Amino acid sequence: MFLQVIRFIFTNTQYFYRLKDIVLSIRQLTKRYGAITAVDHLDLEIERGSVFGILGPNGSGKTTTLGMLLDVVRPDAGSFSWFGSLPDKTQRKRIGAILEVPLFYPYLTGRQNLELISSIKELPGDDIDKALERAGLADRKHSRFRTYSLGMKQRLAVAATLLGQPEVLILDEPTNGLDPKGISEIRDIILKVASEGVTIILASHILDEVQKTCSHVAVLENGKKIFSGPVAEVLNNSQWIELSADTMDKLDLTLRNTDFVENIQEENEMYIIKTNKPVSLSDLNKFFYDRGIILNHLAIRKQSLEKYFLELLEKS
Amino acid sequence: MMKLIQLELRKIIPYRMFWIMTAIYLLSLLFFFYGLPSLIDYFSLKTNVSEVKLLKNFIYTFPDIWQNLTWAASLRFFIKIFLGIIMVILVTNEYSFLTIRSNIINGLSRTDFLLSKVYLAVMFSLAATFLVFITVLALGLSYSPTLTWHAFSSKMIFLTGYFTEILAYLLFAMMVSILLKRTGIAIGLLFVYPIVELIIQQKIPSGMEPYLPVNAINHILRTPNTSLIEYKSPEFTIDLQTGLHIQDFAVALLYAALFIGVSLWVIRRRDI
Repeated sequence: MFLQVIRFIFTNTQYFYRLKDIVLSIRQLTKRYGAITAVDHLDLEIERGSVFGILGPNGSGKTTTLGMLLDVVRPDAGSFSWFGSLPDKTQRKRIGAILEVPLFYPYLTGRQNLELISSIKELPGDDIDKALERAGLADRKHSRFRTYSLGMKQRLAVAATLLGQPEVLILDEPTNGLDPKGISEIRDIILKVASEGVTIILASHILDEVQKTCSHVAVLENGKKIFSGPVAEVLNNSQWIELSADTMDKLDLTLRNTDFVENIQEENEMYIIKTNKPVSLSDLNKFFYDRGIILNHLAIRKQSLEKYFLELLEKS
Repeated sequence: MMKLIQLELRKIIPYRMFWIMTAIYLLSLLFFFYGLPSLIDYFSLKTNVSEVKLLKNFIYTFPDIWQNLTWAASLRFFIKIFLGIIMVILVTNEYSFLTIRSNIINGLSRTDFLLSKVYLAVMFSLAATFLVFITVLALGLSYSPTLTWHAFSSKMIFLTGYFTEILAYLLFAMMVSILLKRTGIAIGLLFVYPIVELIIQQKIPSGMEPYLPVNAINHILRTPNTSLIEYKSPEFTIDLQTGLHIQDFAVALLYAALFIGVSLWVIRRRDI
């Protein structure tokens, strides 16, 4: 009987651990640059298979944190562990990472650069051509890196991170400086890789990007973690929507009698409403049309991160 | 080790700048060694001093040719400067392209990174030594009137001195590059520091001069005491060298170890 209980506890603890498979755990990580504390006693845990967003304005310590996790920046205090053991180079071979800008030898071709990375990671290198193809660089793979456009450089960097099927992908502002087409291409790659079960750590200052791709998020400001948790809980799903109609008083009345509108403001002869759940513009349009209101303006208002932070801080 | 060497080869073989610099080094070395006999001939015609014509035979005959040419090739302000510049370019490139970051992010340790540059210095030293070996062989065989095995091999040991001097010098260039990170500044220091050291050596107590770093790594091969100088002026008072000294090797190698040590310490401590 006693033995059975012990065995039960033992097997279940095992089960519990397997369930909560921690890929990265950070404890009290701190980095100072002179008087400025770039990362301030940061604690984080990232589970296997999650898409983890690190959200914060420029200068909030995102890149410094990732730099420490990749041994490019020396922490002043605190520690972290990858895959449950202390950091060393063999773990970095299981991670694909972009830090700030694509870093390649300008005089080497795209293919030669990937061959070099393959050899550092001790990979057979048989997936290089496939990676170049996926990045849309198959026809330019024998051109030198310095002749690439910004978008091509960025895509090569993403291709490099995917070599050898890494267990963790670290992306620091991967869509920085890209045009809308480039942004959506990178986003598609992230979502595809995430669906294959790869853990992704994504640093970004764009709220929308984190909201659209991440399952979990930590919000940083001045090196401190303000919030963390599942995206659905932490980032509220509210949206600000601008709308106006020829019959404004009728619109006003309708708005006040709906259950999804949380807040109504008037500005420049239009209404700005805040919804308590995500609604699509076409649904909204139909909703008002059915009630005999023809809208002449309907748009989602992008929320700035700073404004959003204020809201978060007020809430806490 | 082979992996790191392979990695370095991947970086330098497609690099055009590397081959241009290598060509400049090669040409300057060969020009000097092959051109000098003609230069001597030219001067002997001009001056009609019989000793000048003899010079050629003294410099280019076995066994003294080993000592003379290895000494000339390792002079501090001479041909080996090009090797130093190649080393500086290859190391500082990693900083200016920030590829040292990508190397480490992708799974090199900081120590690995440094080791790969140390291996590079060893490879260059071996290649330079081999080049001098081939050149001496070709020139010595054509200028030595008679050849015995003893005459051929008795001073061949000077090649080890040459190898050690070049290796220590390249490790010095490596350390300077890692400390300064910028190509231009590092090359500048490579030129300026040996001059600064000439000034320093005036200020320190005599007997200490050979222990200054650049002096130390140039002290294995000193002004050769070949038969020419004996012939011309037996009462010459400068520091002439007849053989190699193990303590010179020891000092140079200690400095080489120090250069590696300082580089390693800096690279492990600093943000990249």
